[in-house]
Amino acid sequence: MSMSEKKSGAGKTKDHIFWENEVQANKLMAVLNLITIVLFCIVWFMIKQQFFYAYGLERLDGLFLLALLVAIASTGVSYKVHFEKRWVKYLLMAMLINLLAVADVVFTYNVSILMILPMVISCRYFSTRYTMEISLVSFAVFFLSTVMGAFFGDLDLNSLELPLGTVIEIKDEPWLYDTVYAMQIPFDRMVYLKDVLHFSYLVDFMQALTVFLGCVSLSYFGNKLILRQKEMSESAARTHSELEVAANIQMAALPAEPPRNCCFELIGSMKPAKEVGGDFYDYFMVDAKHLYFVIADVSGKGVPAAMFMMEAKSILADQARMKKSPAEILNGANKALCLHNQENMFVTAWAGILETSTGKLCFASAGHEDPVIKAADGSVSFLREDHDMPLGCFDLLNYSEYERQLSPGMEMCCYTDGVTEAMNAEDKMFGAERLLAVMNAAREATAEELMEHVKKNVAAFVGEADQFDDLTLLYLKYNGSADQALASA
Amino acid sequence: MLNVEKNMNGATMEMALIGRLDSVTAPELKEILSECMLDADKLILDFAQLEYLSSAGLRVLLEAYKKMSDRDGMVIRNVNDVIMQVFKSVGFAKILTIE
Repeated sequence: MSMSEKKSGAGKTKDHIFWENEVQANKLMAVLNLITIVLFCIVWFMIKQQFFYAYGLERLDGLFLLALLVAIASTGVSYKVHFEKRWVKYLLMAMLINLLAVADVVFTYNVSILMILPMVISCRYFSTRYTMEISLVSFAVFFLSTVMGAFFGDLDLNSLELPLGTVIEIKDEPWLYDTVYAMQIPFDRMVYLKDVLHFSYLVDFMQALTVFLGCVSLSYFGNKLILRQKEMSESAARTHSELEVAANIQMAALPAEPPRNCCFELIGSMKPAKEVGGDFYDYFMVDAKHLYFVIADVSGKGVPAAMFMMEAKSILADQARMKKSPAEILNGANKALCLHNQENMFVTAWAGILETSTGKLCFASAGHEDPVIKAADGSVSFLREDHDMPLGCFDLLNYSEYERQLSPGMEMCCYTDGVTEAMNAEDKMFGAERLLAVMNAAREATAEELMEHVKKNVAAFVGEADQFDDLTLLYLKYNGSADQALASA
Repeated sequence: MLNVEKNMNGATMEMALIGRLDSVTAPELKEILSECMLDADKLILDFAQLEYLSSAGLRVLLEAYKKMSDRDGMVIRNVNDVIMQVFKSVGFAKILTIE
């Protein structure tokens, strides 16, 4: 299988990550090669214009140009294979080392840090092996270029030992060593080479050795970092997709369609602050004349709250299906939820049973916010009663039950503290009083419009601030029954 | 931000909570409480300087209350009106010992 085929594969293996990185690094190398080539051309041109001076270049013109041409050709070949071959990194690096080594031969002591460049660039591949290979090649090639430079390149007068008493007479040569060459002062080339290796190469080598160690450790840790990053991004993606499914499961657990009944209109809405939330509402007809509806808020947010929420919702629904009264529903659910509650989670809940024919509402509250009631004449108030503890705290609690008569045209809004404690950018809370005012001002006709009215007001209040808690609303409008209409007529 | 000032008085641990007890600071308090409860028989929490209490904070208080109920119990002191309202609205006021 070729590398390009591997790349199109779906799952990203460890090798694949590093192969992708290698291709990127190859492209960077090609760019660096091109920059070096351009710089060399400029330098060569400037020397020809006598802006710079290099004695060696006159003799090494050909070598200089040859290195340039080979480097251009190799970069071109690498481009042709889209940098997607294993040998590209060696070819490009060889060309770069070649260019730098030729520069070292020509300019000798004028250029000193060239040996470390290939090592530093090799770190980009995050492969300790490659960095070691390149460093060793670099040490060897620059040893050779130093030797060649001693014979053909610029003469380093610092390393030149002349016989005592030698007189150097400057005529019109621009550089001191031209004078030395022009005067044809005899010197021992082997002693010069030994001195160059001693004072120039050895010093450079020792400096390069520290850089070498740094580069090897850099590529080692770069390698580890890439692997960890891969693991992290994979686990983040997994978590994200799991949460998405969890959110769908949770949303599907909420009732989809309100029961069709001419006596009332009912609608609920839940908007979690994170992917999944701890709020919920539920409703269904227990029998032909009794509507069960509940709104609840699990302590905390996110996955733990969502798991507890699913359990609480189904336990409450089971209790309601046994045709129990609201207080009995809460009693039963509380005992069940206390059974395996290691984490001391709890859930506030407000449960009601509405007798649709008469408008008699029985309800019980497990530490939940008081619903807002809007009478037919438009006056609003809280349906305030004494609060019992949330479900899941203590198994031996007995919940109190209350009763209220709904008359036709009455509306009711149950909510969670995500609504009243919604914060705006100035850290102000929406508050229960504001909810009353919003309800008071509402002139909308249907339950759906009324709920949109409340949601819009909360959204307008919060503005740009982040949603901090789950936001849940349950809206009931009692229309009255045919019996009541007959009785009043 | 929540600061906790601890003061061990015999077997009674007195703790003053200063700041906010919310979903961020609740785990901190949970840790402090679990350390203290090893050797304290009675726990007194001073809420004089507690500004805010969220449901996550209630959970930690509930946990502490349950653990201390086997011993000499847990008492909450100097509860301000706002937090008292929270206790009342979630029914904690009926259970907790508030002075």
